[in-house]
Amino acid sequence: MFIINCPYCGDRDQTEFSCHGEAHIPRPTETAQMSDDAWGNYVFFRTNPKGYHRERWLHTHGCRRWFNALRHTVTDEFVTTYKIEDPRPPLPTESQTSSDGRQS
Amino acid sequence: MANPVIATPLNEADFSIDGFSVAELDYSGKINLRADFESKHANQSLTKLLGIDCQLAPNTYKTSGDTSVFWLGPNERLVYTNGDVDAMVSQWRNKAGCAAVDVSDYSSVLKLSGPKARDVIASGTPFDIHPEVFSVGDCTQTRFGNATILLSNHSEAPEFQIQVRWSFAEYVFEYIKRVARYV
Repeated sequence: MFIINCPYCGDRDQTEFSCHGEAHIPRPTETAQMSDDAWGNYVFFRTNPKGYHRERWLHTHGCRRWFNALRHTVTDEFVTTYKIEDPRPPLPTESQTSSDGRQS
Repeated sequence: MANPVIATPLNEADFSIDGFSVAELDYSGKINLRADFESKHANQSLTKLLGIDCQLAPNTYKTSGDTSVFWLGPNERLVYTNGDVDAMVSQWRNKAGCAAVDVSDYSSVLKLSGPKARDVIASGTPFDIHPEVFSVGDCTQTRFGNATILLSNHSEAPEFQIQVRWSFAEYVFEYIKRVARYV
């Protein structure tokens, strides 16, 4: 079980949350001119890293607000969570973390 | 026009066992408010209409007379009132620059009391309800079994209230009845 820090409510149990994939993917604006390839990339293709990953999370059973989290996809370590409008926090440096499975 | 039938999902059922009792509260009006409560203008006009300052700390509620305001999110509040909900909603919508929705029929409110109340709640929720971290005046939205609830602490006696969506009311009530026999 994890404890996840909701930026609005504080530390809460993992089961109150749901994860909704990669964060910071802007919706295209010039949709009429987009090629099928570009649409396909926007809709289906994700970076899927082995390592630190910025994700969208929803506090489903709590305040029902969306926020972003910086999580390690192998160790499941939550580095930080931040509000949608906040600047992206930097990735942790090598010395701050175990090297297990981390993408270099 | 609004449906004049006033009902609650459990017909105000209750259940008691040694050291614990649970009862569904009478029907009361509920209004969901969405506004920028940080803005002085919106907050002032709402405070004037409600008689309660809507600028709440996260996960707390305030009560004055028969009106309570619960924090649901940074820009969302829930009001319990016995007043005329229709009149309040139209008044607030026009004057306070906020979205007000009558949600009186969305949910059921259960009152849990008795020395075992804490143990009963702890059996269904991952949220820490120890008095040091969840005291009187605190509320939180969390999970109880598979249902989403709004849990609030009303007395050190102890007394808690659980607000649950209409369709989950029976599930939560039966869950509580069952665990109350074992805690």
